[in-house]
Amino acid sequence: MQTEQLNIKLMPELSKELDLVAGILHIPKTDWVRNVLAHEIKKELEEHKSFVAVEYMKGKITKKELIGALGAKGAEDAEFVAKTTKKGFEDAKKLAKAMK
Amino acid sequence: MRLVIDTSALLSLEAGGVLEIAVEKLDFIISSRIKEELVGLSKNNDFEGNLAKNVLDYEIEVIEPSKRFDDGESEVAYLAKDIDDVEFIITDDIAAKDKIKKISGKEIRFSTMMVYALCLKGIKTFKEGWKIIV
Repeated sequence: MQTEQLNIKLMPELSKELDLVAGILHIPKTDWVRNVLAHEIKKELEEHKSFVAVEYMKGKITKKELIGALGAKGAEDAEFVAKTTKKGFEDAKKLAKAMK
Repeated sequence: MRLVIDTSALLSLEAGGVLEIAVEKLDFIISSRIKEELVGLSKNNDFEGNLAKNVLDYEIEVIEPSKRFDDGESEVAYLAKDIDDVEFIITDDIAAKDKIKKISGKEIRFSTMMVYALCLKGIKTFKEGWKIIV
């Protein structure tokens, strides 16, 4: 797998704590940092996507801005969510009537 | 009106604390594969596993479609295609939308529709519904 190197400087206290965590978990500290970083990036991106999609649904950003923020596929998904949610709210009336 | 629902939407509704009442008020159908997915998830001692355990406690009709699939989304889509009075497939799995639509030819709706319907029926307040959705 092709990788890119990222060098980070840590405060001595944080570095010691990182050694401690890696020791407790019996894994190399670089592996722990890589896993945490991957998790946090994914979480951050998901939150960003949700925020942008909601702003688009509210009409606060244009489709062009949506594509710029999420890419073509992400924008397509966001548009699908917006349209399906809107249709769902309309169909919910029918569903409420059908409830026992 | 019967509704075919998949694992993602069942777990969302259970996480929102409204699946039990929704099951009482509407006729949900799941496929055999969805039940198997829930049983598999219920073995995990985590948040999703606990939700799956609860879902399995509710009386939801399980139908084995005439054709079996390896994944729940494809199977519910095929099941929905097989049943005439099923208008929607309830899923929160956006990644599976094209597959579901292609197999079933039926409309997809999110679990948020159920929450809104419960609010319209007066079972939940709109304030409660909004909290569940966000």
